[in-house]
Amino acid sequence: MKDEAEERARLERLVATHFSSIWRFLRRLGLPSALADDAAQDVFLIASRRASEIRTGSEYAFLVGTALRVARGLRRKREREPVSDEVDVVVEDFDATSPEQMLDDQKMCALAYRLLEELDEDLRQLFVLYEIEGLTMPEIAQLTGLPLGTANSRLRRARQTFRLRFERHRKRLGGTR
Amino acid sequence: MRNIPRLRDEDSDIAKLLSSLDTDKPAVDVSARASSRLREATSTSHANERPVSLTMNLLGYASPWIVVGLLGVTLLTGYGTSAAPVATPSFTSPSAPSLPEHAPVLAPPPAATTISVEDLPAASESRPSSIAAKRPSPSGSTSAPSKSSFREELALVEAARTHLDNGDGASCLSVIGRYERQFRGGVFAQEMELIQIEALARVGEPERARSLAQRFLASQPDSPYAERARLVLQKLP
Repeated sequence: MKDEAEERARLERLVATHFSSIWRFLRRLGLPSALADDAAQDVFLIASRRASEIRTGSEYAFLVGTALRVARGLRRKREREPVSDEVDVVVEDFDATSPEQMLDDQKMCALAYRLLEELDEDLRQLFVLYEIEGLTMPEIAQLTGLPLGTANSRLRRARQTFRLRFERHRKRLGGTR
Repeated sequence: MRNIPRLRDEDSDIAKLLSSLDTDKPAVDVSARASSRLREATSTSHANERPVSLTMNLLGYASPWIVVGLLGVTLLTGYGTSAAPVATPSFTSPSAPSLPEHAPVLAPPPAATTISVEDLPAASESRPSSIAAKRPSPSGSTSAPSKSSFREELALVEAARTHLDNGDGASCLSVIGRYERQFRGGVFAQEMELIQIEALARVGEPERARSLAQRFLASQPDSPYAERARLVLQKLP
């Protein structure tokens, strides 16, 4: 009984600490928000079923790895459906920023999603994990199961592609601010 | 191998662009639903029922929560693992008083909180858990709420959130009043309390919003919603 309570408390902490991060991660991998809502839940449901396998201190890595697999599965099923049309950014609605600032933030966010969407899935994963989630390359290689050299090479391509495409927007972006 | 410098460290515009992604966040009720769903699923795995992966329903953008509610509870089948049994959470009765003013005020659940979270990206792993699984049930019984009452409770939360999102603070408060009457200290009490704080701020009752937010923070300083409550508090005139 005590073990059950401890396990439940641990799961609760897991949700409390990481739900939003995992939801964002799924969005950055290309899931529209409606799907990210539920994919994030699936991630935590899986975590609840495999709680005993999650080492203390490695919770986030477990969740990210699970989220990667969940997102991959979902994207395969929805391969032909464009995600970029579903950029549905939820920006904090009770915020001190001005409406203009919020609009700018929304535009920036929509652009960021669009640029991510333009990356091939393999490149996007690497880009998101390294550039946004801040993981190290050895961590990424472990999570994705890629050899470190392959991961590095994909990341370089992803960065190059992203930067090139971002340049097209830089001037316009500057003009909005 | 030398670390590749991150783009955000090399280019401030890209840093700004990538940071803007942080403005995208799940709605409050999404994480609340997730928490409830997790509790429900883990509870039912105890009862040897067979659940369905949420995403199986969601791929068609059907309303997953209705489907899930109607299906009852299930076991994930899509990922090839077996569920670890987790005990059904039990519930205790709330004892907090209501605010002595005209708008409905939710009683804060005592030592109990939901496991849901709005947004705590910076929370550390070592943060002490103040999250108890036990929540009061409307009936005060120790069993989990029925699925129909859960759906009703969830429907009220969604209605309140929708009214708030539409800028209709008065209707939002009215729904909260119904929630308080029907589900006082229910599963979503904390979420509703936060919605109420925001609604009061919206309808021009900053003092009541402040009072409620302060009480919320005093009684549940480690709540996953505390950060948002503080944010609302800061914005009050």
